[in-house]
Amino acid sequence: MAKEKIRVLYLDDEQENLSAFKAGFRREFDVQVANNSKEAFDLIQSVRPHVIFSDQRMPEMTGVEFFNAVRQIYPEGIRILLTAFADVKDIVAAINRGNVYRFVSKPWNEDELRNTVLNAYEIFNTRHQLQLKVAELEKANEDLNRFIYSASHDLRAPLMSILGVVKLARYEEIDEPSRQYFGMIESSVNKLDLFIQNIIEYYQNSRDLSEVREIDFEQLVDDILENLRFHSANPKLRFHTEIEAPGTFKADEFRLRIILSNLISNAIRFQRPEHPSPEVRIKVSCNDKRAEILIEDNGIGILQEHMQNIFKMFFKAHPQHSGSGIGLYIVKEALNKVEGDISVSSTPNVGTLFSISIPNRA
Amino acid sequence: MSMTPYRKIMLIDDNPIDLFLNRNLLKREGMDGHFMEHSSGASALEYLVDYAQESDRLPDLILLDIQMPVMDGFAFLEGLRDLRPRLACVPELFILSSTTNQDDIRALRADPLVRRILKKPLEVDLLKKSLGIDQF
Repeated sequence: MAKEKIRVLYLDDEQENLSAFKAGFRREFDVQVANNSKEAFDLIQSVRPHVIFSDQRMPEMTGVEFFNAVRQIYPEGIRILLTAFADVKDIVAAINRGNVYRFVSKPWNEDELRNTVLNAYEIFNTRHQLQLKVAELEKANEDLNRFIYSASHDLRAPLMSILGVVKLARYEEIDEPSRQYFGMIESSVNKLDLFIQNIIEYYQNSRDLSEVREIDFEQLVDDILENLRFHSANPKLRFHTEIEAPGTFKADEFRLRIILSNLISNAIRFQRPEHPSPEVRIKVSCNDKRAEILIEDNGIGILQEHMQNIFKMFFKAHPQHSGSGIGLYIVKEALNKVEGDISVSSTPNVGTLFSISIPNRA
Repeated sequence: MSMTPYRKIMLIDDNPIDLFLNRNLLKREGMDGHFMEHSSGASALEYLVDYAQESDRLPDLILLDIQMPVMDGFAFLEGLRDLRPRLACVPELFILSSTTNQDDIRALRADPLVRRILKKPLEVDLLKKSLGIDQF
């Protein structure tokens, strides 16, 4: 693709200047000249020049006034004053206001003027590329938003149908091997569903949006527990919730939900299957400055050697357990966004305690 | 065993598997009344409009899938809102959903027509608990 010729427009009331300019530069640039402002405005509309030169002292209006008007209708064009007079104050003011890029003194030096045009074109181009990139990114972001919205349904709905059918199958008189097969189908579907939810959470969290709302911890925890009720292998699992939330607590509800549901989900999943009384304890206490939340389980615990890896993406201390390996990573990312902290302590085969602290935005 | 008032149930879902599932689950939990099944909000609304004054043809309970392509659950709710003053009896309405979209959930919770949002797959125990009955 041939490089485009740089389009230059020059406005001056003196015809000899226009002729000299055109003669000097018409070979390397696409030069348009105008004798009065109407001609200049017409050419701006039809040609869309990259660089616009104007004389300062003209009968109709000054170059500065001309450029003030051009900026309103065609801000992309780079505007340069050509002037013989040192009307410095007006010109400098115009430059500072952004209405004029720079000025060049008359009579001009051909080489210098050529360089000025090349530099100005460079700027035009850079800005233009940036605009294109921003538009691309905005579109990609919009597409991502739409994907997230429909993924939440289109990917999960068929999985929920499968779980429903498996449930129905269990009512029938089926033999033991079939019962086992259904159990495996169910566990694979749950795994896939968890992964999908995690991916959605990850992308939603990575956007810059923030929804600070008043938090009702009782309802939030209830909601989360209700959503997770299927995920326990052990029907003896008990939940203990203790919430002390006097006063108002405000935070990014969406991210808080992600943090709590991932931590609670882990506490549920990493139980000891033979344990007679598995439990998950959730304790919330908040004041006007912070909320401290403890999530404790008496499950399999975390080995010391894994402690520094647990927040890494796709790290699984127990690969045979269901789980995407991305949950704690998302928790960490979400905590960063709300400027919260997390600490964990654990003893293998005894239990684990996650403790998080979130500032109150009220 | 208590006699429940819920003997006519309308299921609205574009997925025939889910319709089958929900009907079966409810039957297993003692529902031996009458099922009305619609695969779009539009046809469900049409039925309600046609029988608005006939309380013996109207459902006492509606289970509505919130995400359907042709007329989605929200549009059905709008239609039901307009129809409500003309209905001989207003059914209990439960939303069945697999969405995690909090904006949608918040909007549904605030809607006076909606009794409760239930996650898919349907847990009939939760449904019974919300209705305050032991058995259909």
